[in-house]
Amino acid sequence: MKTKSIFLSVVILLVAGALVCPAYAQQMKSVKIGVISPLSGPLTFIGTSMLRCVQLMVKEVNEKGTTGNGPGLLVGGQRYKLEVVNYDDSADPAKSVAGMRKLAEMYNVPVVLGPFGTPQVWATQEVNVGLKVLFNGLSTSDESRKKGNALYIQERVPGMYYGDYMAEACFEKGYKKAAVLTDINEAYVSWGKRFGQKLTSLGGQVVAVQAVDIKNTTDYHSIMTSFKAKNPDVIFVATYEEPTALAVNHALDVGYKGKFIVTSDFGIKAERIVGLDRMEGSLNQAMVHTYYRKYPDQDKRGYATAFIKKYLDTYKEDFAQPGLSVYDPAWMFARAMEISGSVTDAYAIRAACPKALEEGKLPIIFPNVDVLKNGLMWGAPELILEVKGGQYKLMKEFRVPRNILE
Amino acid sequence: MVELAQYLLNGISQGCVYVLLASGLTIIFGILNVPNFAQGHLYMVAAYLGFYMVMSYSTNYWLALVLATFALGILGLLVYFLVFYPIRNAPEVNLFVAAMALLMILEGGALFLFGTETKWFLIPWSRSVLSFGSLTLQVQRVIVIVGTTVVMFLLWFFIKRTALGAALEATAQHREGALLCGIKVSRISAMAFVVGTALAGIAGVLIGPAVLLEPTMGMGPLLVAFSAIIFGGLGSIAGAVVGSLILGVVESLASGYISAIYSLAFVFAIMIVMLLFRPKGLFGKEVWRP
Amino acid sequence: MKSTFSPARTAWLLALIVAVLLPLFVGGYLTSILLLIAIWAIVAVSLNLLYGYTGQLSLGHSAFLGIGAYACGIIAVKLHLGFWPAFFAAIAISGLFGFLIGIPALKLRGPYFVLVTLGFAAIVGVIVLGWTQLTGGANGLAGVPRPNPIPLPFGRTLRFDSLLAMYYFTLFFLIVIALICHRLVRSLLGRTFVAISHDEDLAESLGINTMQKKLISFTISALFSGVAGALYASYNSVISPDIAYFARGMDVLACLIVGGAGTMAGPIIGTFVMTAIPEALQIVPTLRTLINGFILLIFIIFLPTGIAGGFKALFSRRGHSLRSGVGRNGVA
Repeated sequence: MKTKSIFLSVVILLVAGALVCPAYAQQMKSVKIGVISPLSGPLTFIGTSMLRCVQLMVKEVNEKGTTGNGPGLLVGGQRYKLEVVNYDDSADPAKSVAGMRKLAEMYNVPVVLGPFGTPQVWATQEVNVGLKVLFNGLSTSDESRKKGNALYIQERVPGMYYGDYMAEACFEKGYKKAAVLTDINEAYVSWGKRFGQKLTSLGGQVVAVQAVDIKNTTDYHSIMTSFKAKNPDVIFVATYEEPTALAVNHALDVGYKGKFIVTSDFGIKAERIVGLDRMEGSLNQAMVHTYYRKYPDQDKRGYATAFIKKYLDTYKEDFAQPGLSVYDPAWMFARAMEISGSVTDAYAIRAACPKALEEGKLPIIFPNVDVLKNGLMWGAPELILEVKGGQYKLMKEFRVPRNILE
Repeated sequence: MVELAQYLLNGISQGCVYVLLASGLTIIFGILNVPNFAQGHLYMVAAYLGFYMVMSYSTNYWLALVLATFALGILGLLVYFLVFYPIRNAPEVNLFVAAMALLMILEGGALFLFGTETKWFLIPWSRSVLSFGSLTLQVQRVIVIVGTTVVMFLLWFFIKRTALGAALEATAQHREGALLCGIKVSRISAMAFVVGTALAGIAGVLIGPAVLLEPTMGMGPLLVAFSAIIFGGLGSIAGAVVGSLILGVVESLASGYISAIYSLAFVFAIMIVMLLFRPKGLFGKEVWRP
Repeated sequence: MKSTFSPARTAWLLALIVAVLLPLFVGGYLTSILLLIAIWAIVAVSLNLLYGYTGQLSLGHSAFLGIGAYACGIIAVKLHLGFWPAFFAAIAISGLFGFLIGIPALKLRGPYFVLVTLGFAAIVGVIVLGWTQLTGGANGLAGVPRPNPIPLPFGRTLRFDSLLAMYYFTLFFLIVIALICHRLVRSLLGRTFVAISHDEDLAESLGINTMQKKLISFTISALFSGVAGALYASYNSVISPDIAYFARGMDVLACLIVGGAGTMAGPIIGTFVMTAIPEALQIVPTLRTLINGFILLIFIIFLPTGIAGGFKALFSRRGHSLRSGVGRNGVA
């Protein structure tokens, strides 16, 4: 039947491909790592960035190894070449699951990066343990690591925990009245809520709250007009990069003269769209690489800057902020394979992950040092930057304490 | 109370966006009796064209506007003869499906050619605003309002004061009657389609600098434009203008006073209510009969 | 009458055998794809009843799919009632919504009807996304259960935990719904539908209460889409707003046109083709929308009766040719 002949063709192609590979590949065995990401549909930009980040990592490992002991992985005395196999799930949870099955069954991947999106991750969590695949699903929800999935990695602390620190920073600067705009996504909504709660508890005030569906909203003028009418000192914006920039622009368009506090989604592209010179006094709860991008000399370890340069040189196009998140977990998985001595046992690889980070030898962007029992990668600092004179000034650095994340 | 005035101003500027799309939609519908689902994506193509001309080839913005309009017109001609003319005698639903297919092709093509990263215009007045007392409006949006007014005036002049325009109107009113008068209906149909796509072209370059460019940017405005022409009456340009402006204001008021998420629902609810109680809309011709 | 072993019947039998046996030999991935095809085929079959046989084009079926899925999910998860009550309630609720939406919507015809259904679908999509307390908002609902085990004679039970069991469960409903449609279309009611699809005013003048018949067709169609939605929710155990996204209605229509509206095999063939090709084209994901669009365009211009319609024309014994350019095939 049709599906069988497709299957057959794939097999033939793989065999042919293997035969045509350069000689050195035949000396090294290969291990495949999977990437599930949206490569069609509205989230294509994020999905493409995810895939490219993993491909860059794989290239580097294949050339130099995980900690300079290359080429490739050195597992139990045998060298392995890494290969990426990917699946386009179009951000459809049912297809994320199908993709997980395909990668596990057809390619025997022990680890997968992706999928992107909370429903997609939750759906995948139903099958990954049965398929014995360790995966890093990109979900900003606080629930994702609380489902007891033994083979799930969450690469970043859910944003809502940062709300406290952002509120403190605002209060410190004297921005006591806030209007809150978030994406309709629950993670962003709780981020905004937490920010508001902390601000109120410090003695501030939340004068307006709105949620938007960025898919359908291109005009923020009226929302910003309603905010402006309440005279806030600061407008909190938590949504994806381009809509954040648009919202800020539209607020400025309707004559808003106050400040903004934006989240880590606000990267270099948003800066270009808005122009930092128009955001004097505003705050950005940024990830470290956003800061290092403008001030490379601040990047003491140098890895973030090196990565950004490599990405831009290779692809001539900028990356989507969320897509970057899979880079570090990919490195961690690779090193964990070496430490655990296995390229097939997902549980062993997972057990070796904390050590992979503890060693501190990986060229990862965010200096996480540990993996909590529930799968959360922890340790990287987050920043609060202030815009001064069209430039960023580091206002404070913080880490969410691990005990409240466990 | 100042907010109300600002909401109205925002609504009118957003409404003008819909006017340009809706007028093209309604002309195509009036003559070919097919809802051109691809109109939003044609607008997207024009926006990208304008973007590349201005940002990569340093074309003057106004020149880019004219060139993009021409390009879209030619594209419209091609599409008409390759897609809609061969199936002109098929049931209308086939033409509708063809428009859907066109939408998919345009979106897929844009994804492939232009890449997935959001793009944006940066022209000398991108960050400037105009103030009228305590009301402000982005300069580009002022251009949209002025541009729309000019285009609508030209369109009115064309339809009401030229022979060709009269032929267009006649064909829209009664196809067989127009044939009897010696009007070459098939040519008029082609012309209607070209006018429709050209309007999408103007929309693309006028509105492009005010928004972010991505392959799916046309879908949202298209849906509102559809609601607008239902509200105003399919086939009526005056209806398209009135409907678009009203819906733009409704959307703005809903975003400001209630919630941005439901503003699209409001717009559709208005369309549905209109369809149920007065299907021909404000100024439309009689409800479609086979 | 067709002889017992006509080409059509043989093809159906073969397809059934393959559908039943194939998952036993291929892995979980292909089975899960077949399961998804079965679910979307149910939606296509339901749309076929409304459009292919009754002539009313609706772009709103994503709404009924979503309502079915969310009703099942909410009742099972939030009201803790378990699968079966949720399942039947979801079907009833979809049918009810179909009835309620159909009453005003079916007063309109042609493009007006299309746009109204689209409007409803968009509104449902917005509500599903925005009403976080009920639907879970952008994150959706997790933990939708599989059907409870059914006790069988001799101390055994039928469990639905496995992918294979879920696949057969879904296939069962696809077959049942397809059979119901098959009988329906050949009944007097079905012939009334076809009459309406050919010329509504003429049907009316013959004394047929077209509004009532259209409403029946619409309600049944919505009900079947609700079944698909509930099955999807149970299979995936996670439902999210993207299932109610109105653009899916266009995808289903594309499947139906390519397969052949107005035929029994059309929706199933079309869904298979439009799903299998993108899967096989995993290697060029950025071109997928483009290719789908071209396929649809080529079919609508050159073969508007779809694949099944094309086969029908090939095998047609009677001399009558299908109306040129017709997107619907009527009952042969």
